Amino acid sequence: MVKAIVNFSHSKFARSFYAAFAGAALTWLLLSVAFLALNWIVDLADIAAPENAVALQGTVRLILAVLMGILGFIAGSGVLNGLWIGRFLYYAGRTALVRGLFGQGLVFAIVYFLMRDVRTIPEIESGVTQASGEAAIVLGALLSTFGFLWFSGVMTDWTLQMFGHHTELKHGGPPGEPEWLRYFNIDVNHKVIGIQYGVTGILVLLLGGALAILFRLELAFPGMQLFSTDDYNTLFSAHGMIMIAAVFLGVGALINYLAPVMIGAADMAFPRLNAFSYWIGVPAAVMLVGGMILGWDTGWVGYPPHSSSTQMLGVVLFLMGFYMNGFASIASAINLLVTVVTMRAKGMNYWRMPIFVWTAIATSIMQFSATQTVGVALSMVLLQRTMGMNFFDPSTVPPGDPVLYQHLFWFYSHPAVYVWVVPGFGLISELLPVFARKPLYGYKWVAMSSIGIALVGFIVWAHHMFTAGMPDTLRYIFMVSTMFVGIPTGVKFFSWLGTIWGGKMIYPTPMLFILGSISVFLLGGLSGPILATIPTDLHLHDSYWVVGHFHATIFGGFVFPFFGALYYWYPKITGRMYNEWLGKLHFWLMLPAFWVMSIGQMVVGLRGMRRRIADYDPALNLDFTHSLITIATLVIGWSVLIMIYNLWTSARSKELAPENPWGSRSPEWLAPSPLPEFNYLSPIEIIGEPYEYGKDEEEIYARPIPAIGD
Amino acid sequence: MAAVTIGHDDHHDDHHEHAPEIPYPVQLRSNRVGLWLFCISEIFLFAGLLAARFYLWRVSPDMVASHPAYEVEVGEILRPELSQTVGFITTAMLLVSSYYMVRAEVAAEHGHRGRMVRSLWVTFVLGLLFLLGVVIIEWGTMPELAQAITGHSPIRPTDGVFGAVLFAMTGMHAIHVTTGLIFILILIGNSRKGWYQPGRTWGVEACAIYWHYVDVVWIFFYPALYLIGTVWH
Amino acid sequence: MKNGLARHLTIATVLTVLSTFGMYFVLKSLFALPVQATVEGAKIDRMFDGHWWVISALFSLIIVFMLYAIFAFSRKEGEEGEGMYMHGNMALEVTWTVAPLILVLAFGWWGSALLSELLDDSRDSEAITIQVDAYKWAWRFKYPQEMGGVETSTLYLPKDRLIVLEMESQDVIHSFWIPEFRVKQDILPGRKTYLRFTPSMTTQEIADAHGDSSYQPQVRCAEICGTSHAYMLAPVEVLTDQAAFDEALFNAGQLSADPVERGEKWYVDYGCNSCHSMDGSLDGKAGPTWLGIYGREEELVDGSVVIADDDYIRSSIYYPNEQIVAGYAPNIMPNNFEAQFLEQQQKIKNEINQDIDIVSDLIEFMKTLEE
Repeated sequence: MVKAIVNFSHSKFARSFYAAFAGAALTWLLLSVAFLALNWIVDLADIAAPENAVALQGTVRLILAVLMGILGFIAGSGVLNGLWIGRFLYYAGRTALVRGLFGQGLVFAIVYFLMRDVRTIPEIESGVTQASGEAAIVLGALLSTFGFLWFSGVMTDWTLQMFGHHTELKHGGPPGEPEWLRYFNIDVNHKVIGIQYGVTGILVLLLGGALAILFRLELAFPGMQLFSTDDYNTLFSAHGMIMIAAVFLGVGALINYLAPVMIGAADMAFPRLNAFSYWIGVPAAVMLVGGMILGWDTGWVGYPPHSSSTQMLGVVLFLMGFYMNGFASIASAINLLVTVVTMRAKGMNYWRMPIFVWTAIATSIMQFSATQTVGVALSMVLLQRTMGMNFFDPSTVPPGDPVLYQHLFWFYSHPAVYVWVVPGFGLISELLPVFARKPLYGYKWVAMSSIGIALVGFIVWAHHMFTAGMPDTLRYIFMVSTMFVGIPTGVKFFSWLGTIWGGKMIYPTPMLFILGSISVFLLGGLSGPILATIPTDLHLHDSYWVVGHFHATIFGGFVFPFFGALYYWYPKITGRMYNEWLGKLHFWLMLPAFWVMSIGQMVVGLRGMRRRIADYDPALNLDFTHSLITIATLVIGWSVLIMIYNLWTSARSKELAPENPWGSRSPEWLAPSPLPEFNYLSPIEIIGEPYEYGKDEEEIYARPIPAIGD
Repeated sequence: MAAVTIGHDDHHDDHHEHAPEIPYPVQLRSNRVGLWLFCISEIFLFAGLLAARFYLWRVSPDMVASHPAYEVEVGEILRPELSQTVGFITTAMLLVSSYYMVRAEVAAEHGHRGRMVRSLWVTFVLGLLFLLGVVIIEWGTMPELAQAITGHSPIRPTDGVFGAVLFAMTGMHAIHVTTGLIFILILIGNSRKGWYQPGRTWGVEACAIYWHYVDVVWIFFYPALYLIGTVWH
Repeated sequence: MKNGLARHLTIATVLTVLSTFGMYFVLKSLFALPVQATVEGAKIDRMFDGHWWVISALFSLIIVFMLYAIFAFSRKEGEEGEGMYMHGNMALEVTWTVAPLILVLAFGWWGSALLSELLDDSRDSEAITIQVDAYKWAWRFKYPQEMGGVETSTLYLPKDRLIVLEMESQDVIHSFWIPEFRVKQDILPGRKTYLRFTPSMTTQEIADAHGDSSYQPQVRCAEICGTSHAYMLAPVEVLTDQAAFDEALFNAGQLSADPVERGEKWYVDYGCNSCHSMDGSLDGKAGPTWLGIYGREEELVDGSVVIADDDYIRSSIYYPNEQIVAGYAPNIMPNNFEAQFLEQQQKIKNEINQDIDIVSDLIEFMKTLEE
């Protein structure tokens, strides 16, 4: 029975059907975006649109979507493969992405139409009215996640096992299809999943960046020029959450691709769970984008009672999307920890692991535990909205309390920030020795400082609530505990200095990004203690100083190292070399622009610019700095596009990269590039220390295990 | 211990090669570590709910002012009025079910399939009774029945923070119990197909760990909901 | 080589010290704080200054050493070989763990001492306690009974008196911030939060120091609270002395005999102005404009059309969720105006024995707003 369903989903008819869905849905989506942009521009330019323009657009969209659907159905059999559009639809019908999105849409539609008129709570208190269809959206979003997972095939193996079928772990792409198609399908190989994470991460990063540029244009001048305040609120809320998703995807890319190779394993401990972690992020991302379309004005923190009472319904999709992302975090963190514990190569003891693996451990410790509490907080808001269960409204006896949400939320969301930056620290520590040609300074201290940051990260959450109205005793405790974060972070900075001091440094693009990230993270780090001491925080809290501090932390701790890592491992991943000139151009545009942006944000914050406002008081004299920030944002955006162009075109170059272009000692460079299916052609063993650059007698770190009798 | 044999054919561009064999002891160790990490992770979920319970079910300053007849102090821990009988019986059933789960696990290790299945069925029935006790009586899905058994009208989810936290905690626990029940059914079904031979009993072991874990969570939830604090009418 | 290293270290250290002073002056000019207008602000600004010094020193330490390393330890053209082989130094590691620890403890102590000073409630009895009501998206300030129990939408304060704010929100979380005062506190529904400060400059002095004599210091909401969060502002008037303060409150408490003038007062006092403009603008406004509203035909969300007459306006103010104009959302407008108005009317009745009807005043005011 289950097997029959699985077989049917791979039948010719099903594939044609999915190709039809892909054609229709994509046409619908693209036209919707195009019409939205068109109407917005017409509105801004004050052009009188014809009366029936919207209806006409709707008709055009419907007709074209139906036509493309029919075309897709025909193309699904392969008869149109001579045309690019036919080929596109043919392959689209063969991807897990399209199958999953169809399943998600189908389940959501069914639940929504069955439930939309159901009001789950009577209108209990005056003023609390539940929007019609809200419960339907929540339940639809929840169940549609399962729709995505089952239709895409992530759960197929597990479902078969439940019914007593033995399943084999399938490696390689779909049989008889081109190699690249495996990146759009369920694949259990950690490198494929790593690349899926990475590419999705960059796409989501572009979306979040585009939103940022839109609202930065609005902020360039006081007054409202482009958007309504509600639209503005939606834009910054969506920017926050979408960027967070992007950073999580980036972290997932790094850890998935690198950690198993670095410890000499063939794959993660639970390859199917690994695929699940990636794919559940896709329906979650769909929900976040859906939330943006419906509009939500709470920011990414979603504090009740605002989030539990706002009429902008996108907030429930945001909460659901956030919640679903949590499953991905927890599953992938557990997977990584198990992999490191049980799958290390022979001789790879903990003190001999590449330092990035230590940061992967630290980051996973935070992810697999703290993520649960934010789930509690988010589900409380959802329950209050849809079931009338009161957690935050103070009017009952005993009273609800909105500050409870903030505690549960920040218990996760503070460590979450360290989840993003600690792997970045790992990259800095990993790359500096290679380019300075020196051992990593104080390996054990650096490794332990990552764990230290993770542990201290658990006891500082309430510094986000210094002005929230919590008991004063807690304010003193958290003021001091927060500043303790500076100590392990300081150890990192000093160790990096120790590593480059006395080296013989060279500066290809990855090294530039690593040095740049140290300078940017310094900016973020040093703007922190002033927020930790409460007397000064009373002025800075919820101001643009925080915005500047946060962006410097994340750019320095994640974005710059991530870009550095992309360039550094590019020859490993693709077997080709990127264009050095374009890489340097990217860096020299992005670094100064980022400095201007971040310092500009701090400057306006000190002068009285509040966070999350659509419009600011011209009397505060902020216009010039704000315009400067907007220009800097545009430069950052362009520089990232240059990187994408560089990575895209270089992948198609004929010339192969050298085997170990950076002269690294790390084990992944022992294997061919791109890495084979199971990483090493024969098992490796570790017989030395990882960062012995510049030692007089050559010491080997990793080597293939010699065959018996050798 | 982590010796992973690597695919040794020379055509590494052919992706349909065999995966490197991971020895069963290594995979078993991974599974165990993974499941225990999952349990630790869930501690934070249930701790979050417990934190909400002790944060919200307390006497606020306004309550002292507006209920002078009550001799309570600000900050004192409260609990709603719940049926002690129902709480005690359901808890006992869950605890006893764990004993049968242990029997099932031991039977599986010794290859006694019949005894294992019987023990699993007992565990399943006890777990189901627990679930029904919570869902039908404590939640008042059948209000008349609940009224008849407990002697007071059941608390609703919309009844302030008492209802909200009670339903959130029991609901989250009930989801886990339900998952455990499904897990038991899968074990029973698959054992018919000859799974879980001695030495390959990971499935049973996993289910047992999970079931005991859900049980332990209830050992914390039961006093938090039924025993600790002053009853607030 | 060892000697060379010592020389490099010395040079970099000297440069770090020099850079620290340079950085401090850069920071002081770049990171200018707003005008400092409270006694407490002066103490807080001293702490800011302490932070600027630490930031200058640590920034210089890392950046100077990094740039110096790039200068001194780069691979020269055609050079071969690796860097120095060294693994670390226990003494150094301990030093750079312990030194920041001491700094952390010092700032922790300073911050705690100053915070306890800011939270000190022992002088509350001699302070003026003002109740702050925050709601979407406006502020109301209630002065003590002995000062006439006046309610205003402008925050009036006397110079050099300790002020205690007792704050509560009507709906969602808001946050009270006056940048010139350096203090901030979230305002919660169902629970009171407090803020203490002593203004040391009048509004005019602040404006002059700001370099723009028409500058208006304002209370600014610092916690996202929805549509018009950006415009949730209230003017702050710090007056020279107690007499000027009393006079301002007395004037604010006076009721005009002209219903239109009273209507305009209610329009501001009850925060109608934060969502309904007088001039037809819709920018950042959550509700329909009042320009030409009286007698206007409005299309409702259910498609029916009503004329905005006395009855419609009254019911729209008292029961804002019942007849929503097309294009606007329900549950935006507070729905407790009836209770608030009745209470206010009763109070006026008790104090000056005058019967007024706030809604009629508002309607009279609306009538003057013709297109």
